[in-house]
Amino acid sequence: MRLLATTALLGALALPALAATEGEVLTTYADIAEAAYGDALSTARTLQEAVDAFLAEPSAEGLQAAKDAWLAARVPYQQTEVYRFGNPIVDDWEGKVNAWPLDEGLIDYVAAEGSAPLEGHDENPAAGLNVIANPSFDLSGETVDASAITPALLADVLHEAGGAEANVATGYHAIEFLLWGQDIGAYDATAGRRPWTDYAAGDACTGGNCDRRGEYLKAATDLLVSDLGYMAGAWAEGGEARAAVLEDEGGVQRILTGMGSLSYGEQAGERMQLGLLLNDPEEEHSCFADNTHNDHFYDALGIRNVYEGRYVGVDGAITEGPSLHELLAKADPQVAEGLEDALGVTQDRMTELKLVAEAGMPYDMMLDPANEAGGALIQSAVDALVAQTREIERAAAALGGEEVAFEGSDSLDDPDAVFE
Amino acid sequence: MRLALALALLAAPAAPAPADVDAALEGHVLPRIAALADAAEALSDAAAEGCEGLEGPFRDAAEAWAGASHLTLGPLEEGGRLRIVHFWPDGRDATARGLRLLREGGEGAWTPEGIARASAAARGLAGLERLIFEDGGEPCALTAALAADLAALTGAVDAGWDGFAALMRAAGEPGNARFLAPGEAEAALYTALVGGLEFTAEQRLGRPLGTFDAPRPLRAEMRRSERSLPNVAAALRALRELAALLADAPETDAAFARAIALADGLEDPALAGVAEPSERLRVEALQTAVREVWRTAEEEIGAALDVPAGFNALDGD
Repeated sequence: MRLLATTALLGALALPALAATEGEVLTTYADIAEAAYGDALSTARTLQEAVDAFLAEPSAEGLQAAKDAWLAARVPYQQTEVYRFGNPIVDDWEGKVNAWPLDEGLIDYVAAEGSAPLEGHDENPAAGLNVIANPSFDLSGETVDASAITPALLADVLHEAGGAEANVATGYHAIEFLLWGQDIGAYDATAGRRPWTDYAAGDACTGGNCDRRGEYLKAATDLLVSDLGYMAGAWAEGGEARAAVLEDEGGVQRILTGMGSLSYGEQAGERMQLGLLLNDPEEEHSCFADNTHNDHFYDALGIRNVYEGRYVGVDGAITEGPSLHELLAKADPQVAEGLEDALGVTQDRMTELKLVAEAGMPYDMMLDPANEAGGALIQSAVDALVAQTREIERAAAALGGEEVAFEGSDSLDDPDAVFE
Repeated sequence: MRLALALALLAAPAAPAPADVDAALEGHVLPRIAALADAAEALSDAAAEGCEGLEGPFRDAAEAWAGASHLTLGPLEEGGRLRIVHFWPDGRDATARGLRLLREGGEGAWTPEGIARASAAARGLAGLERLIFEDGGEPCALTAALAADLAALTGAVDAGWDGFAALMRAAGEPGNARFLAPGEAEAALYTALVGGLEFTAEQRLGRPLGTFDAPRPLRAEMRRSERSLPNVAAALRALRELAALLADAPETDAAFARAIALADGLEDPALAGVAEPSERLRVEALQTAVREVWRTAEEEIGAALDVPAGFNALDGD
């Protein structure tokens, strides 16, 4: 969305009283980001400990503990996704941690029964590279020495190799694939069933190259922690992401850009409608773990968090403050109510998806073209996201006025008074 | 975001000129959608006769699609129909997978209901292009079934526009929950214009261009039918038509004329030349010209209408 401020310029009322509130709203927005990225970091560290313990002494229990830690880590991370599109610092970085979907044949063995490409294709000649099985290979005409699998190899050589977005070598979904493996049974209730012995030593090793697989898992997990550490720091006091928001006189529009872009193009479009259209069981955000219902639920919740100015942390701590909803209600109560209602409807639809999935029908079963009821659940959530996007557009128009008025009053009136 | 400030500084019109939504519907939207349905019908009729000689009808349908693919609001937005009519871009080769599953299903599965449940990537123009240009239209029954499905789909879009156009005309009237004010119908058409320009510059041209060191000719839209460049030209002509109906915008129109002249001057229908330095420069020049149309339209038409552009599908990319 190009945030055209022309509406804004014309016919705007100067309401300097709102200016202070706008600054407070941006502070709440940055505070929630700090708390949520902080939670994403702490839960990723827990995952790192679980992975280290598992690799030190591979076992079925150890693999399960790592999976549990991965699932827990997704809860706060998904709630941060609403920060992505409104903040270039986040958007430029996001692909390292949450890129999706992946041609997982780049990383490890894949089975013909799955729906991942088995070999290279127009968009991605490296789709079947299998780094774990190949210590040396040709990539884009150059020979790569992959004898040691390091964070640098993943981040600098393999990730988005050959310019293909599906070459996802790092982040949550690469780790997810390494923990769960491919979800082979299309449209059935199972998730990926990678045996723990894929990491076993000596003759117990299944899938081949268990030591290299362990190296990969370790490198990807360490990288995730360091990447999240960077972003948590960027939102802390004195961080660059926080500063960019607080310095931006159009900062409130940033919040709305993030909400609208995630709602429409990303979540409703790429992540949900597309899966329904393709009926591809890998067109679910967490296709290996079958955790997609939670991905969507917490994405939607994150959108509502920044609107309501309230975030509940993984330790139960609540971060809250003056909200965008309050600001909007002053500017246009009807639009504020419309947006609040639309976000509520979406959350209800997402809750329905979540409860059906948790009751035994995972998201890929809903993608089965023969499953009319499941498909309808997804479609109704998509429709709710599209409907809420219209309300976000209305909010952007309604708040455009105050924003430019704020700029005007800033220069015309006493600038120091604005934040008092 | 980056344009917001520039616009805020530049724009100083006395009063917004309301766009003639009715004129845009009658002079652009409805005829373009009808032409798409007609072209799909003609392709379906030809495929029902046999699977040879479908290249011409396919290209006609592609031409009509390129002239309507920016109309993402309303009936084409519902249920993701936009992506079914032509599934592109396709980053994970979903078209190949969808066609493989359809072939495996066998003729018994190629009923209207069976096709309607198949992968969107195999349906529509994407699946048809592979069958017609790579496999000589074989298997004929599948080609015919996909063409009939596309005709039914675009026919439903055409029919759906009757009601949606009425909603746009009645923007702001009591009981109209879709368009709460006349400005919202204008904004929706303006979003279609801007979104179409962005898609043409960044996807239709941007994907095959890649980077200088890593050009991606295989990523060109409809390269198999050599419709990559013709689609760009057809889209620009259609978008110019819409722009002229939305506002009096001489600078935008001149920018369109420059971009269209560059497109017409190229002789590289599949955009394969992006991998050769001299030809690549000309494709880059075309992309620059389309971006210039985009920028000019935002400044000139956005300001004239006094409406903000809404979110489009590319925002989440």
